[in-house]
Amino acid sequence: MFDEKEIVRRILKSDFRAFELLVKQYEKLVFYVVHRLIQDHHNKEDICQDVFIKVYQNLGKFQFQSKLSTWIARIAYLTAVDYTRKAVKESFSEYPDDIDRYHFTDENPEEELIQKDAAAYINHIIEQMPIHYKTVITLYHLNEFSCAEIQDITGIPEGTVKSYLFRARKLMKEKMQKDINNNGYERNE
Amino acid sequence: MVMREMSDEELQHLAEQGGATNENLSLKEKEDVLVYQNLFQNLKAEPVEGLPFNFAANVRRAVQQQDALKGDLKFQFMLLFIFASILVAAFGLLHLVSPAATEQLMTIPPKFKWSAGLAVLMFWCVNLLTTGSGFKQISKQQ
Repeated sequence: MFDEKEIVRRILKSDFRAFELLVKQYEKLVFYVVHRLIQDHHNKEDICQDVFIKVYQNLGKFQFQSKLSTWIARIAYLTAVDYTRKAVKESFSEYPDDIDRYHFTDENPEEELIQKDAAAYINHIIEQMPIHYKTVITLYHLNEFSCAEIQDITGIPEGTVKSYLFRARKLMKEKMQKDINNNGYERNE
Repeated sequence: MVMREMSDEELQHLAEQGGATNENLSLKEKEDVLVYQNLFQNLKAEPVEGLPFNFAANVRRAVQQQDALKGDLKFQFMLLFIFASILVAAFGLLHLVSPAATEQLMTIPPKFKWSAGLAVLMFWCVNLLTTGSGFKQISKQQ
């Protein structure tokens, strides 16, 4: 069983094996956040490593006021957002200021993806969404954090998290239905 | 009796509870709930790609190297501090024992004194730079 307090205590005493155990325990959590928020496929591993180095350097400041996973997810989220801002400035500017009015465009050929597999199709849809939608969708569904924990991780108020989650899922459902109908219509033709 | 149409929020909630079989739902609502359930299921799917199996060991090694280099840097500064302290203490002691000898030492032509001091400083700087470049290399690897 993974005992957070014991592991942290050992790491603070420079036990590197304990740190390796911590990385093993949370590497999926960090990868999911980085994978969804960052488009650049080549740097994902480096960014994940950067996250864990920050974890190591700041572990002494962790006071167990939240779960260790929430704290690590916050570091991963902030690192990914920081990287996105630095590397792809336009990816932020291309999103509308009012993300509540965000909608998918019809320019992308999703039909090809539908035929491949559903998970790839869903990932493709998520990639096009504003970063806040991507974040809440990933943290809630993939990392299985609650809305209150997502507030702790991102700093977005819980009510807004729920609203983003609802809007993002609704948009995705509508997009899916539209693509399925278009696909079915084209096949029938 | 006309049934009230469910809002999207209610449909999402129902889908999370797994309620597509609810008899009170209209055909359109059932279809919506099923699409939501399918969406939620796919949102939980782990990405096909992932981190290499030795990722944790690589991170541990990088952190370990970084720590060692930090220790080296600390050691270099400590060495310089000790050397300077010894020099000052020796000079002070000499001044206490024989002020004349201190004055004599001060009259040694400056170029000899400075060249000795400079040689020590240069040795220390080379050491420091070697450690620093190692530190940069590890940072780049990260």
